[in-house]
Amino acid sequence: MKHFLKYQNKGLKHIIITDLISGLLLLLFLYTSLSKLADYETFKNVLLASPLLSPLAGIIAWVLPFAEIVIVVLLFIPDFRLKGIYASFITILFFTLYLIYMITFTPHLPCNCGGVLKLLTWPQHIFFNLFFILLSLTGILLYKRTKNTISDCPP
Amino acid sequence: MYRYLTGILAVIIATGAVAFTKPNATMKQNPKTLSYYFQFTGAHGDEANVTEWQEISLSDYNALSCSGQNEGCKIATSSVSNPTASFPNRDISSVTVNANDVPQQTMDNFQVVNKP
Repeated sequence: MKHFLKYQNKGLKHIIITDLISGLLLLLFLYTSLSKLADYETFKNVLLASPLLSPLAGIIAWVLPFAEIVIVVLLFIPDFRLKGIYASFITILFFTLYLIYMITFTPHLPCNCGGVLKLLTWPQHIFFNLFFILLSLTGILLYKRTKNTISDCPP
Repeated sequence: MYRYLTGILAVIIATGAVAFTKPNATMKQNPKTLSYYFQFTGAHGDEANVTEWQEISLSDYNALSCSGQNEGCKIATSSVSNPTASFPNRDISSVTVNANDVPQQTMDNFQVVNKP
């Protein structure tokens, strides 16, 4: 009984932490997707100003916010949460690689930023993204560990 | 049901944040290059006159909204290959500006970006 409770408490702790992590990721993706959709023209113009993305600006301006909303839905539903965290990890990783490319090769960097993000410099923005990459990784590891803890639990 | 709690809370905060903070297109300084920013101070139709372009700070550049007839209301220039040189970075005479188009770059080593 004692063992069972120990495993149950450990599993519960992991579940709470992964729920908090997915909540933070959900907040980030919902905020950014709604910001893009709320001011679609500005977002499209920012993409047009990007030398790398300008040829596909019209498509990306629609696809990206909707992809982010799909991630939000995955993060919201507990059964799909791990998939949502994986999708968040991959998306933020791509954003960060794009930012690094832009800083390296482009002198002017337009940003469709709101709130705190507007105050951040580009290197700070990269660290902000790295924080969420680490958060996603932590979420993935904890989620897997929770599953293992539950399956390892003695009968 | 409690597993939806963090999600519901995040949805409330995110929608509230979008409602109360308006995102806008801002130019952020690339730490690797030296950039200069210009504001058009002349009348519509006189955009090609380089003396009508006044150098401004990055914060003034971001605060400046391009409205009305002037397409080329502000320009950001910088040099990737020679970031410390004052020329041609500050020289916008090589930029083609007219009343109907956004400023166009005419040199390889510096980039002109109009307000997105």
